[in-house]
Amino acid sequence: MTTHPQQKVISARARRQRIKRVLGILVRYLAMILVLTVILAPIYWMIATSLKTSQGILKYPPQWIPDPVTFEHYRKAFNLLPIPRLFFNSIVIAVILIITNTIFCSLAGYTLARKRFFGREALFLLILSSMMIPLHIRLIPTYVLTNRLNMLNTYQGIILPSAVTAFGIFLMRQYFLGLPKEIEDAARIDGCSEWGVIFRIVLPMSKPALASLALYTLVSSLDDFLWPLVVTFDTVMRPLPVGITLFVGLVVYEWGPVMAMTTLTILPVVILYIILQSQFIRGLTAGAVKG
Amino acid sequence: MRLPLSVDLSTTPPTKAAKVNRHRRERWFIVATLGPALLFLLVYVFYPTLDSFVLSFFQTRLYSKVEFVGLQHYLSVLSDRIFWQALFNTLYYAGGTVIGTVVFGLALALMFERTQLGSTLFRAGVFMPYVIPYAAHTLLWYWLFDPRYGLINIALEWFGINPVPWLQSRAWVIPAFILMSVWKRMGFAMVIFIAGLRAIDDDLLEAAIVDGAGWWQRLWHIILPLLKPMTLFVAVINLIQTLQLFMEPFVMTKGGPSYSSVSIVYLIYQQGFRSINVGRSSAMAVILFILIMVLTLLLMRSFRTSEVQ
Repeated sequence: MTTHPQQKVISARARRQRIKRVLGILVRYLAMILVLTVILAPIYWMIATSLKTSQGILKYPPQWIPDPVTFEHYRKAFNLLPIPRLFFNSIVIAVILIITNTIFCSLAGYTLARKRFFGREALFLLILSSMMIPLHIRLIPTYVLTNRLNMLNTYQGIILPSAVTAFGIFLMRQYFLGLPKEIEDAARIDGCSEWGVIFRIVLPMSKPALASLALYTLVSSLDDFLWPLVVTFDTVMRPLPVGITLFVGLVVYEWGPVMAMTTLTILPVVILYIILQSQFIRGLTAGAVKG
Repeated sequence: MRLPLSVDLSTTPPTKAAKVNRHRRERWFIVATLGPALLFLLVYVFYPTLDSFVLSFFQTRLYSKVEFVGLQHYLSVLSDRIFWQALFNTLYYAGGTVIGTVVFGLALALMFERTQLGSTLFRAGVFMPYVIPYAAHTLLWYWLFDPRYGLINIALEWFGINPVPWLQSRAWVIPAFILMSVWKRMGFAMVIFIAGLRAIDDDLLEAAIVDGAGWWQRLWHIILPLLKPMTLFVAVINLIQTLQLFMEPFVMTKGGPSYSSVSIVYLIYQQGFRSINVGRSSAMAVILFILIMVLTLLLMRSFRTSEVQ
């Protein structure tokens, strides 16, 4: 009989706690929606601007939903710039960079992770230290070198300076270190050659790391600006992000076509990101978890 | 890198020959896997970096060396008021962005770490600005900062705040850059902090609750110390990137108004590709290199010493 009042107290407290928890969740969701709205509003605004009429863009109070919707600015953008070509340039550059980086970084990373040889640690430190030397510091010598190799205004010229990155080597090495060595040894006993081990055993097991490196390379190749800017002088050789930016400097400001071009640049990446978002996030934050 | 290995196979016993053969193949494998990557780094990272140092000591005509001038470029750069302005702007921008990114990323992570439903969607949404190509990001914000029709000033008006001349005033131009930069980067920081929070042992926090520790105490004495590696990572990555401020002044302000948004990389670009004073440009590149090194090491050290305590 003595437990009865105590139980009542507990259930009252439990009820109060439950209400508090539900309220907490509610507040959290409201905050979540608010944060998402603030973060995504600029992207919405960009798309909306690109679809408005020129008068609609400058309307006050602002037009939240484009009315009428027009693709006029897109047509103008395609007339002013060779957008398909610029798009193609960006894809060529990104694809080649992804191929060279995944191949060469995994080969080097594998040997740094598994093989023993003289000077391995020193070599690894040297590679790590080069991660602290951004391209902007070696901009001019790289330009001079590219000029001397007769590669100004070519894809090779744009691609080669980031064809192999220290970050990629580091990333792959860290991943390989976490793989069980026994599988590789078993393959060797079965008569697999070293190349067989890496291409048939190790790399197929490393798909998450390879995907991370590929997406990381994709995003950084699209972020690159100053290098492709200085190394190209024909509009048709420029990657899309560089091309649209220079266009803005040349023409009197008209936000409609500019936002149409910006949307065309952002949309493919964002669509790919929506499809592969967890891989993207893993790729771009790689190095934090393993580092 | 490859060592000459000449062994007369005919005179060695077969077992030894096999061993040598295997050895040789192993060595060939090491060279073949490391070689291409090292060659690339040597040609496109280490050699140009060294060359930047060398060029900074020379008088240059177009892109070739003319005469050794010692520290002259450094003295001229360091006595140039515009360079100091660029240094100040760059540090202001980098400091503001790093602090803003860490604070907002951490706040978002703490608020939303435990929400289950819709958390993937939320994370994806907050992270999205990070994948937007930088040039497009700059153009987008150029429009958002438009003094009359830009979304930012429209939004400020709802709160009764007068329009801010973001890119047209000396006082607001760097805060404007910081704002757009934090918008792009805080999702990245949030994802890393959430990973850090998930790794914290729940028993530890429960024990603290049993001991009567309040929310702030738990945050200050348990959560933040355990998040130190993530904080350092976020800070270093963003510091190295933001010290290379270039695109915002290049696209939006051309360094203005009256040099209030010039950055070091902007001056490197101007000197190297507009005025074609390659020696002077290289001297600034070397100074930026030293700045990145020193600030990164200081940051790492400050995190390490406080860890020991």
